[in-house]
Amino acid sequence: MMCSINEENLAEETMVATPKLSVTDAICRRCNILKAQVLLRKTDPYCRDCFMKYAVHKFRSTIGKAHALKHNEHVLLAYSGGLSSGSMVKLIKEGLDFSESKKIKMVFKPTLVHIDEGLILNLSKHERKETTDFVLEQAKKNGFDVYICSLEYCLAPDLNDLKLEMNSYQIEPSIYESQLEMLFGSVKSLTAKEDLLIRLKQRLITLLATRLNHAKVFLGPNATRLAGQLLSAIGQGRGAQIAHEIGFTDSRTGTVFLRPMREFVDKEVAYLANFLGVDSVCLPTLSSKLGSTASIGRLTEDFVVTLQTNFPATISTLFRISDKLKSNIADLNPSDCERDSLCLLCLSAIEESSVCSASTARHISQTFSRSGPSGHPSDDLRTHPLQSVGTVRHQDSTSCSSNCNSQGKPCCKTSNDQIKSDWSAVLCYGCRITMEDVKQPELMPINYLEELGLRSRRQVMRQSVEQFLL
Amino acid sequence: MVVFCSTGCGSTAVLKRPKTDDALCKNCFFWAFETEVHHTITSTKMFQPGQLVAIGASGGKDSTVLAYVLKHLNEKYNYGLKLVLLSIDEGITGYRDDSLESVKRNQEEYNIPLTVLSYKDLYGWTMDDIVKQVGRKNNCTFCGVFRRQALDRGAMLLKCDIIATGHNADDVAETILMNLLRGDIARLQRCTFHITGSDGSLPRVKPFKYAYEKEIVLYAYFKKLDYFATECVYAPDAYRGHARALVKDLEALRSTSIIDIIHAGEQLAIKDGVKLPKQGLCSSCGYVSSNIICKACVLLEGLNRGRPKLAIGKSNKALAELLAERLQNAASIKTTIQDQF
Repeated sequence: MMCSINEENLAEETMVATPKLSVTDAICRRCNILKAQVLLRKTDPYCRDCFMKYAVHKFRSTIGKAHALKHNEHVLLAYSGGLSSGSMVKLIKEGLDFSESKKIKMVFKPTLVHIDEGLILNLSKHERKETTDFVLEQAKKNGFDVYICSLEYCLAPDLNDLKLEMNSYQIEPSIYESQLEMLFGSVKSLTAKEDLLIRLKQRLITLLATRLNHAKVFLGPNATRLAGQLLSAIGQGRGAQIAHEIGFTDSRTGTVFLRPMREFVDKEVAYLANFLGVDSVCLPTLSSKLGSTASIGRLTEDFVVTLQTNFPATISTLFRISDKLKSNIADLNPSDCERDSLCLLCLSAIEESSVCSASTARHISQTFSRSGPSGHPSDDLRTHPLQSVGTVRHQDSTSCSSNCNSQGKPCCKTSNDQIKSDWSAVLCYGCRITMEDVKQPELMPINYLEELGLRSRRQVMRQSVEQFLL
Repeated sequence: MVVFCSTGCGSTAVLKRPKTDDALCKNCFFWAFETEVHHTITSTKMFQPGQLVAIGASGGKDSTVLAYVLKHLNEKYNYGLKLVLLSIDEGITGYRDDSLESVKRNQEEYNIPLTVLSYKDLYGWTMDDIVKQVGRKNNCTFCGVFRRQALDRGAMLLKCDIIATGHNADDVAETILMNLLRGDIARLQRCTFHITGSDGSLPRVKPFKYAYEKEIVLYAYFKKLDYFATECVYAPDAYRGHARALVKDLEALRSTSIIDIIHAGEQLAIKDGVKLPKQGLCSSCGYVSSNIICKACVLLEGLNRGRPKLAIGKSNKALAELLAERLQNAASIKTTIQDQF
């Protein structure tokens, strides 16, 4: 490989390891009086009070400068039971209770919401109950109402049938349970599973927010987690959506998701949690107890954490550059955009592909590898931007999958192939890659399948009248 | 167990394509690889008929295969191009000497004329000398900056219209990640462009930008193309190694990751109102530069004064002094460098 480093504007603080500070007798750099109790960024010592002032100020200004909230607005707090969202809840509680200056007092009405993911994490009923009991207890302690919902309702068309009780939760069987288990069971790679979980969870929280009439949701991820997710998004082709995935605001689904903890690295969150007395419960994830090469999400998170220890400007640099990026749709109300041009799964704009781009190159390689020179005489080279991937894929199973239990209807296999090929036309690049790994896409929420059918029919309509469209 | 080529041509498969995991026979692989490069070239309108193309040739796998494939495609599809090989000798003992032999072999085997330029000729320093002064942490800065200018100067000397380099998909993916990690928004935007370059430098293209490194090696292996395959002895300590390791791990998890990263890079859009450094010309040597004096001139000045860390790091004061002096002596320096050709 040719070395091609061309460094006219070396941002050397990202690339030079920092010297170590002798910290045994360090004094807080802010008040210069008290002994330091925490060390930030390897070189900045703070005493407890100054650290808390700094943290609280940062938290409030993150929310304030985005002009995100209206007075007395109803806001959902997505609380997972972990340190980050727990600290967020505590900070909000304190912000509501008292404030030094009336000007920055927080005035809005928060409610907690928690998703019970135990079903796909293979947790026992007992383990699930432990976590949800903890959540109920924490909500009570902080004086907030909480709603808990089990993950499988992400597959429901709407939540009208859901028994959603305030401040209590029972694990009850539902019609969607086995569908969820089979759907996740049919996903080939852990990377795709994690991505699918993100999309479906966002769907569920949106449904909950709508049902509870809350327009905004606060999410808990901190800077370290988001930095890993930034690289993970890049690794999965989601360059067009960075602003939504990592930025402060994500309003793709109609409900506005906000990330007030995004300026805190994990170390700062740990200190915060300690000083605020935040309890947390140990949460398994899909990639728990697996190595760092289990999934792209895990790989990038470990990468960022390791790099950050030697180059402490890593995370802040990633954030600074991601803040300069915009998404490829303007921040319009989703209903203003032509609905057909939005991805079915994540509601980002579907990228247009030009004839000379990576997505076309990817498609061409797959086509050429399966058709060979005889299928494509080279002087007749035409590129078909984003033809359905399904039509050129070899069929991998010859027998029908076992869940062909739609009453009285013919075998679902033929409609399966059709479904596979239609999916790619309605998804953005990143979701398309994820769906390629989902072997039973017919298990996705019914709304999606209906929308899929609708769009396919519209596509046929459009093709027949293309010449008349101005 | 016999596996058949997935194109259905009936031949036995001899390899699994790293890009798509499909099993292919030799000929279908050659065809697929070559036609994909052809597609990259035609869809981006990379070349114009009649152009003189300088192929940046290091003697390594990318440039050897590039020379072979470009020559082949040029003939097969009548691009109408004239090709020359341009090699830069950085003066790294044990590394460059052997790879230069490889380039000379390329010249003979493919019948493409070769020109070799050295850092010693152009700047008065070999990389070995530079590393003795600078150490092993920032030496890549010097080499990269000098090489880029060297390729341009050489190509202009030979009256070429365009430079083609062997950068492959892995390189582009690595560069995207690296620019993200460094926070360099301007480079991040430029690194996925099809044709790079502006006033003051020749346009550059990367015909292999969507070709996987492993496929280039596979192609060379089955076509029995010979090249010199060692990594630069100074490379392991460079920051880029981190980005490279990440790309390799991502590729291992999902074979299309590399293309996915490039797609993500192509889709990045900069917010309105974000300031980007403007590209002007160096007042000392006339090369393209974001500053009044280009990096190469500053680095050189540092070396010559025995202050090699001059442009490494934000030594603004020193830089300001230098700039003031330079602007006074601008005319005489310009003549000196031009005299070297």
